[in-house]
Amino acid sequence: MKLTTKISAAAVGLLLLFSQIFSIWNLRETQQMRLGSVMSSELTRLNISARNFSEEISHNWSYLKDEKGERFWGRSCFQNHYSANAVLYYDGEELSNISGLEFDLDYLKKHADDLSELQKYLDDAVWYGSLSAMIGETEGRKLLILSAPISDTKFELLQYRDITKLYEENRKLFLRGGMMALILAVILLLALSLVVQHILRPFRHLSSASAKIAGGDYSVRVEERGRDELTEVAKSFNEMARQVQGQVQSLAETNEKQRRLLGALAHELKTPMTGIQGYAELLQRVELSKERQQEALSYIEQECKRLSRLSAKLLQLEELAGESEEEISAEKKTLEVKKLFAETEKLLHRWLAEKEICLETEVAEGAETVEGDADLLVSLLTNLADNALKASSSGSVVRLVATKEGLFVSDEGKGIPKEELAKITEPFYMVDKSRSRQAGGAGLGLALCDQIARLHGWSLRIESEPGRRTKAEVCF
Amino acid sequence: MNADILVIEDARPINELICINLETAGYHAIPFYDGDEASRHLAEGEADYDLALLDVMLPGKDGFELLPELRERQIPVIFLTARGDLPSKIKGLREGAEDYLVKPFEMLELLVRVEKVLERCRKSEEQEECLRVLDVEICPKERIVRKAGVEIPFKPMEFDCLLLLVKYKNIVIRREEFLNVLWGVDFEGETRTIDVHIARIRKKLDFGDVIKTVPRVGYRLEVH
Repeated sequence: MKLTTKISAAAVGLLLLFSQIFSIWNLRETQQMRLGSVMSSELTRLNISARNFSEEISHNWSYLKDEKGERFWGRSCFQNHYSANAVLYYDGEELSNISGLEFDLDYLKKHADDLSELQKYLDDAVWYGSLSAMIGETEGRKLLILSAPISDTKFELLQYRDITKLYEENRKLFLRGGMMALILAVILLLALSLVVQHILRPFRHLSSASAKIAGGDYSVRVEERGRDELTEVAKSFNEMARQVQGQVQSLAETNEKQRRLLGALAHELKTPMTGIQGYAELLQRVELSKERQQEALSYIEQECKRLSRLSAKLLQLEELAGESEEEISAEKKTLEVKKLFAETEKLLHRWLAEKEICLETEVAEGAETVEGDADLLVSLLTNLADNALKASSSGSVVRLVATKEGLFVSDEGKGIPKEELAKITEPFYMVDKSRSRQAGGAGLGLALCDQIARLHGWSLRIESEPGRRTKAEVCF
Repeated sequence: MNADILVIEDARPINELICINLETAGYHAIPFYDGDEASRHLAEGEADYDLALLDVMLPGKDGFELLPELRERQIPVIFLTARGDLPSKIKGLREGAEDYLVKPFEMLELLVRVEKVLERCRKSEEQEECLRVLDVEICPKERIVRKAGVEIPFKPMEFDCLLLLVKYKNIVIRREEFLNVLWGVDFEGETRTIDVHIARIRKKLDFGDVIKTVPRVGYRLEVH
């Protein structure tokens, strides 16, 4: 069952219950009151009748010698005073009945109703102890029956009043009240369900929004209006959706990056593989001259070396990707920049000599030391200097400089076109593929440098003027 | 077999490899390492070529840019690329390449594709001629073998074996390749069958020394 229906039904049910209980109590009180007033008037009537009767009978009482006379006189007096609704008894025997109904006095006396609670409704009528009262029913009529003995005689008077109407009216009132309550309940039910539905509207929005999110649309947000608890829920829901969206997006980005890396790797492997396979096949199938055989073998060796370099760099990149800044900072030491530069020069010595390039180093004042991991920093400098070397023509100068703001490597080489600058730190990205490959590059150097700089909390920035110079700067 | 083939590929070792392969099979290969260079050479329009092997990713003009220039001069093109994905293949073929070769490729695959493209593009002009090895003449059309002018009876399988060896002379043909070419790719035959056929061919033509056995690889018909 829907929440709206539940809440409305519960509210209406409770209301009906309480209103009925109240109306029943109320009707009962009203009835008692009216009964009391009827009783009061009946009692007064009975009192007056009884007084008149006893006065009249006492007039000639001394003349009545026997019981028969008393009966006769009593009946005559009674008939003079009463026109209807009464019965006269003598010594428990019915003497005169002008009511048209039969009453059993003994039964009345034995089964008299206790109507004492009606006493509070009596106005000034007197209630007396020897009175018997009963609400009886005969032929579908309700009667209030009262009987009282006449003092000092054997006579007894019974008097009744038809109160069917009173009961009927009461029942009508009850029914009308019930009907009214029912109609009100229906109206209330409709109104309440509308109101509750309105109140619960944010819940429906939440549910449809979460369904959309479950379906993959993470950009959905719900309205945050008002200041009630539902708004709080909506706020936390939106916060959750934002988080989920962020997480999913970053996951997708990582995924995309890795997919690109894998694709680039597969592509990068194809060129050496083609060569190795081709030359091996050539050696196997064709009788080549000694010279050509040597060429083929050296090519195979060269390409295998390139592959192993590639895998070494990939492994390093992979390892660095797994490390966090905290892990690096644990291995950080204060290093002398001069030593780092010397180490770099030693590693590149052979190529420097080959291309006749001069490596100038410069350490500014206050920049003699740097905090970092020695192996990683040498790797960073070597990679940057190696790039500078490859871009330079023979006889030019490559500079390694340390300042307070950072380290930089600059060259007077061919430079990098502006539109390529943003992409050069991507793994396997090469500005000039065939040249780079010929120089033995794998396209991983700058990706590595970027990673190392990031792990130290620094950033790598590259500026270039195509055809003139390039400057790769690590900013602290 | 005398065909001039352009090899436009930037990776020098691979370019050389292809040239060696083509020259071994008797073609004349002209290497280019750069798209612009090749384009300039074509523009001069002096030489006439029968086929071009064209790399897609080139410095300067790339393969797709060079393709129309080659087509303009009626030079059929075989694309040579590391990109084996379907969209690239379809694009290459749609724009008029005759065939597509994905790196890394096998030597025989390269040669067969080259041969097929040349055959297709020449068909109308020239008749398939008879092949000669020493004093032996092989006519593929009539399926006849003559040694010193005398016709020697050959069974169909033996003839196909001989034709393969002669077509790719100086190159080792693997036993599996014999099986593939002669019986189709799915045939899972005994490689021993090939040995038997080769023995018969040697005997019939007195080619004991000409058809060399290369241990663990296959056979090679050597002519210098």
